[in-house]
Amino acid sequence: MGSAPQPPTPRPTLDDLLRFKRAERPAPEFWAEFDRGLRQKQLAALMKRPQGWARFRPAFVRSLRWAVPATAAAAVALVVIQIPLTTASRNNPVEVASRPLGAEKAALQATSAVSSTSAEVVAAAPSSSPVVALAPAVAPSAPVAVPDVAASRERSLPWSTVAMAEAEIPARRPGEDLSVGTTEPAARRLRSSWGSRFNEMVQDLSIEETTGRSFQLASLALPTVNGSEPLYVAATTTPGSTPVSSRARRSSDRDFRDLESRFGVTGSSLSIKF
Amino acid sequence: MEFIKTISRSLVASPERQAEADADGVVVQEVRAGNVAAFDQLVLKYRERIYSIVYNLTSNREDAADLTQDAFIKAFQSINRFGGQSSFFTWLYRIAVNTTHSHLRKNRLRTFFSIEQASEEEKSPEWLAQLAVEAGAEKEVFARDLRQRLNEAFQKLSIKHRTVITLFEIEGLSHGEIAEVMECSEGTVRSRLHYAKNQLQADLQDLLKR
Repeated sequence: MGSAPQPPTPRPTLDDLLRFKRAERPAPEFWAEFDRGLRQKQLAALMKRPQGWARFRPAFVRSLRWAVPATAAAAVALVVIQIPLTTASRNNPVEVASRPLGAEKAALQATSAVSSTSAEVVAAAPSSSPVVALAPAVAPSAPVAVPDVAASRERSLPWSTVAMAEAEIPARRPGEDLSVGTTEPAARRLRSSWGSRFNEMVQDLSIEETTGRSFQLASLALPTVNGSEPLYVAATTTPGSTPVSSRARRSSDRDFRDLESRFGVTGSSLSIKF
Repeated sequence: MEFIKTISRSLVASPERQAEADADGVVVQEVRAGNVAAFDQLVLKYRERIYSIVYNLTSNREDAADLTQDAFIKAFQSINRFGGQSSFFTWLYRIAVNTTHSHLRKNRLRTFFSIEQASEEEKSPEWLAQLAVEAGAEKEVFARDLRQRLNEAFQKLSIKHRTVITLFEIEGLSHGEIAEVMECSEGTVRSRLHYAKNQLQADLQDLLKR
């Protein structure tokens, strides 16, 4: 006959094992040693006084609680005060040299002869909406990309130190091609070394869409006076003879807007949009 | 402040805990008033529990003794900062757990020295004798090996999981009390407990009931 099946070996559950572990206890004599050690440490803690730096540390930490915010507030206040002062110094009005158009043309030609940079275009625009486009440094026959924002009475111009004079520019005819090297009498050439550098820089930074349109990174709104358009003339007509600050009428800060970084100056306030 | 005290008191699990917390509060006030000897009452009351927690976290009886002493010293030194927002034993457990965690982070590689004595009531469970026979070893030897094995399984858990399962299974704290000690949510405690049990189950599979 077959033997009867053996009863299964009793196996513990996890709770049994945890209960077994819970039962671990040190021997009673352990606690006597423990108490002795604890007493020694307790006495040492009572006798121990903070030494050196540790004595002053709590007071130092308490003082930091006020010193850090106060220093930060002072720094912020300094920056806030400094910005309007800097802006105000830039906004000092400079007398604009009023010269006949012929003199401006002569100055432009002289500048043109000196400048070795690529061509920039001052394109004629309707008197109600004067536009100067930032042209890429390409061959003279290449068309100039006109940004979409041109219709917003803004023009892309260098915001560096350029002198500004006024010149009469006739209204642009509808459909007129804005191209480099045009013989259109309304077109003016800018030969500002600073302006050229800025234009090149902006061109490098401009974003070319797949459609070929270029976006402008910065723009400057210029006033128009009775159909006559202010013309930026390079501050190179008589370089060195007159300080730039006396030759250039800086455009109003209100006119400047940085379209890409949302950086703007209005009067004495500076705004940055993120 | 009273509102916070009320909320914290409501976290205490049972009336026994409540009575315990009230009694501790009285002793703490005495210690604060300058009666240093009153602190001994707290040491006598909690030393075994604190030692048990620390031992199960470190699996080293020497380290456990030192760390338990350190925890009591820290509690003694900063008892004036005990605001009563939580019960004293929760505060003391937190000190002990934090002290042990700090020690474990500094000393990751330590050998384990198990306690070789168990309480009388758990000395001879039926399954232990059977397993010893099955293993062909004496019961005491097998029990010592089993403790070593359990300690190793505990040490395989992360510090946080080990702490949760120690406080819950060994020390018998509620989820809320563990959350207060470990400064985390009860959901986190439950999650860690579940994970730790699963890990232990998997590690001790050969010993457990199939």
